[in-house]
Amino acid sequence: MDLRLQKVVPVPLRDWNLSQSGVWNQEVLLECGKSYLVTSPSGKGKSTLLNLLYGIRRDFDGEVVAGNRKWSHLKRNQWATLRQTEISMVFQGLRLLPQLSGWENLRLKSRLPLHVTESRMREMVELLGIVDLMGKKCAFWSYGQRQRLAIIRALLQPFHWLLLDEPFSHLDRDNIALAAQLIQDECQQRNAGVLIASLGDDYELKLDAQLAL
Amino acid sequence: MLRKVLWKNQGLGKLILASIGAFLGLFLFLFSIQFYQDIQSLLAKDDLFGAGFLVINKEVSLLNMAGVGNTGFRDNELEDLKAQSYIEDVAPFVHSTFRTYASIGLGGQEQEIRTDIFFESIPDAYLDINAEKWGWEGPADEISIALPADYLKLYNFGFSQSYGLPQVSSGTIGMARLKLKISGKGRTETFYARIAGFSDRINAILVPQGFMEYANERFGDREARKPSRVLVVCNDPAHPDLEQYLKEEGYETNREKLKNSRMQSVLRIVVGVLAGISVLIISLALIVFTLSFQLIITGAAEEIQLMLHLGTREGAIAGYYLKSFSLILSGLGLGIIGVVGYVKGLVIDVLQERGFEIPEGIDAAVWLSLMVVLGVFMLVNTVSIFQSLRKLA
Repeated sequence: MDLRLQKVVPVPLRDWNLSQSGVWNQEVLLECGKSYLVTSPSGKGKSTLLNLLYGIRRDFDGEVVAGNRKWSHLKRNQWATLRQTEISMVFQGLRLLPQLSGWENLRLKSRLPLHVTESRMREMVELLGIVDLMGKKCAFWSYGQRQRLAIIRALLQPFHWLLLDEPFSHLDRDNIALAAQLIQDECQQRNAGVLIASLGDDYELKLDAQLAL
Repeated sequence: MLRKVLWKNQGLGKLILASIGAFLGLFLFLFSIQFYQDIQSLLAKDDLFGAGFLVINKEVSLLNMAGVGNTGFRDNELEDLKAQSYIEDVAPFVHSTFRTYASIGLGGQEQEIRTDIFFESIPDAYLDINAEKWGWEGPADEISIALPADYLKLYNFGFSQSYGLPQVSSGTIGMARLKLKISGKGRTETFYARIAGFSDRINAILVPQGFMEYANERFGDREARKPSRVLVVCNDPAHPDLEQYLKEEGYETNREKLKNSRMQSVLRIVVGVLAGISVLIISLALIVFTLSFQLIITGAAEEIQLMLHLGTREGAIAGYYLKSFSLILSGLGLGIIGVVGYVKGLVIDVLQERGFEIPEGIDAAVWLSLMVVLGVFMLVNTVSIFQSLRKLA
């Protein structure tokens, strides 16, 4: 599922001079199976791009097209299906529920169609080193620990695209390497594309292209 | 786990409040319906006449006894009756002009009640007995008759006690046959009468109109007099002018009957007011329910939004809330039916002690109303929940 951005401009950026942008108001083709790094100084709309592709933001001009589907025409239930099986996301701010334990946060997602088995889920938790925390409420976790959980939650489902919004900001080098490897394995297995938003760091990921906003 | 996410233990107090309100309102509503139906059945029971029927006659005075006046209704008087706005139709009673001697065997033919009797008739259509039991197709020698309910009481509590005879119910008496010897114009013939029913409201021995015409023709010795009793069909027996009119014209009627009609209209008003108040309470409860769920959804907005963004369908989240709501409603429904049934049981006991019979069980109208109210609750809340969720999407 290739994603095609056709002269997309978020409403808040309408009046800006976007001639320098590599994405806004341009024709952009995002090929499925490839990895893209979205870079820009903060405030230039990295999260906006990801949220827009994920359907959380719909205030934009232009169009996002996948096959014969147009983002501005999708109904609420179509979005649900899309988010269940085609696009997964690690949100900015992570959006884990603090009153739930680690396992419960994953279970909230695993009520929906899954790509991985229960045992693989456990493997991932062990791999990223948060298995001992999983029974505790997320309110007591550090931000870095929560970041790892949010990554795992995003990897449970089937997807063609994985959108990562500053996923490693609070992780140390070793953990970044582990998480990046896990992400790459899972995406390769699904033949999925990755779009990772970052302030500038490439996080040792194998990247096919860079999009500067 | 979903309870922690979507419910967060909020709004419980409001839901309990709404449940209590809905319970009280629904109980009041359903009980007034049940009560109304029961009283209706009590008033309409065991009578051959519908609610709008009155029988009137003229007062018998000394003058009548001296033969100066008489109690027959003249044609212009009947016309005048008919002209009243609250009177739909007027049907004079036809009386027999022949002699009848009746006997009925009791306790194996050894005892017999024998008496001279007389008949009256009104158009068959005004008698509330089904056509199979009523009517006469000449020249058969079997006819159906209807008796005043007092006759049965007189027999059951008087005659049978004095003569050591068994008591009979209105059901079993239908199987007895009266032997009638009718004579006049120099002939005497035997007929058999089957008792088709009893009436509380008319003190007359009624036979089918067709038979009356036949028998008066065949045996009638005397000229028929003007009718002295008239059946009046009212479209509103509780009309205030009716009583005044009867008084002015010097007509008598069964006062009880008029009182009954009046009681019925008072009852209708009381039940109407009760139902009105209960509908108000029910509406308030519905509003509180709807607002509670809206508040619960608003309180869990972040969680719901997350679930939607993780790909959960709106319908699944709405379904979770609606499942809880339908549980509350089923509990309410069952509880209310239970309480209505219980209270009705108490009412039956009290009424039975006073000699009134009302049907057991809960009236179909009550079930239907309950279903409709709960259905409306479910519908309104479903729409409201989906609306609240849509705002979060």
